[in-house]
Amino acid sequence: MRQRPVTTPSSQALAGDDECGTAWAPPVRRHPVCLMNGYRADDAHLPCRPINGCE
Amino acid sequence: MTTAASASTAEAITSNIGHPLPPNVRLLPGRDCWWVIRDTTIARLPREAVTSASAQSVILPEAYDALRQQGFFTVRPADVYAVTVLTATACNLGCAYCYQNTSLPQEGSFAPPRIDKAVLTSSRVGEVAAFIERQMARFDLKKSSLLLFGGEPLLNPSGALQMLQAMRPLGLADAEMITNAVLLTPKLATRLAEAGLRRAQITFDGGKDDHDSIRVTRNGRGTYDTILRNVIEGSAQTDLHWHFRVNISHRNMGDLERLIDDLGDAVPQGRSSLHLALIDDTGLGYDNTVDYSSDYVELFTQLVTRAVRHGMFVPISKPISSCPYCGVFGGDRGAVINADGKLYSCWETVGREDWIIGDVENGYLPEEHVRPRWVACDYDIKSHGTKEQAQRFFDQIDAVALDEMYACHNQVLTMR
Repeated sequence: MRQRPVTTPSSQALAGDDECGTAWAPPVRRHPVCLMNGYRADDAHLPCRPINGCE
Repeated sequence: MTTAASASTAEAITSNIGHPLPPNVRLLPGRDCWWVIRDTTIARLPREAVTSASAQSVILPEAYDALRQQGFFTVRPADVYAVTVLTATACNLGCAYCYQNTSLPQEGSFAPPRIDKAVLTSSRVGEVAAFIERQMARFDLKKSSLLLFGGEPLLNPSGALQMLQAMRPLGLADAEMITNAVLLTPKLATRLAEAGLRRAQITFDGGKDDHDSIRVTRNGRGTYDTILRNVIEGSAQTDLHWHFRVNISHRNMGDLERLIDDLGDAVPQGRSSLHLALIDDTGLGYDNTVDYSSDYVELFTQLVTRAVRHGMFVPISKPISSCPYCGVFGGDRGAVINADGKLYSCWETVGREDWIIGDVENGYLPEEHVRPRWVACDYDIKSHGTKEQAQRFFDQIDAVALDEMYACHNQVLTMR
């Protein structure tokens, strides 16, 4: 069994840029920028309409 | 685009045209598009906007410019001071894998030893609020967010309510509680919502049978029915949103689809979100054979798809470096505060003497003391795979989540 370290090696300080889960952060419900229409932003573009509620 | 910051951003982008993306931007192949992600900012591009002629995918200049014009690359300064406050470090449950345990439970026991007990008192609430006010003034932040945490925060409901009330004059923009929900009666949920709580984050450990063998009271009783009932009734009587965390290991793969169905049925569409998480061994020796392999990508994407079709929101993964608590050294954007007023850099070190970095009365200790104790959650977990495997794993799941939530659907989705 591994033991919890009492001090942290400097290489472990700040875990860095690993992708991780989202449970530490509020679930951000922001509409994506949709540039499917000739690279023009188009919020009304049907396929980009969110179905689960943007805040 | 007149500010110096904007100008430097534009310059950086220009130099990247035709080259691989900056490291903080992800490019994921969607079902009929490309998803471009920078932190929580997401854009959808047509297939022809990206070329994969070289080893790495490249966004064409016209599409890159369109993204820039939409402000996709503009980094906005943080305007919210985020605090996690523990109202009680004790817990009414005895989950064997909890990182707040100090060892695995003994054979036949459901009460693993935990970090030292502390309770947020009324006087401490005032001290915590005063510390937050000082920090917000120091960094010129006008808004705050509060995450009530434990242990089980509802072992001290008055502390939770008082903390919510104390934060109101401090520009409280968002308030969430991470609770196991066993004690979250509809009456208490109503009081918390009235005090400003917006969302409860609740963990499940699989379908009913698996959950009831893992997420147990400290005398071994299952909790699935109690939690689900409290969610259903709390949802009916309040406007709370619900963020469901589903912890996954090889011990609870049995009936996860049924769990998603139960959660989807419990809360009206648009008021819940889902996060699937692998259980980590944080040094206790609690094993988990689930890894970042393609089999589990398939399982996770099936569960995500099912959740979206129930009307749940599925947030995509984020780099831990974006965390407001640990992402910036020194607590410039937020703080993790134990019930006894001690400060820590992240949730996983709370309550451990060797990791204290200050307290609410005196502020942070000198930098030479804080720096070696400044870590992010997961600083000491047994890895589920390599960094590259992790990235592929999250990329594939996130692409499916985005496809399901935003793209390709001109008709109303229904469960199959």
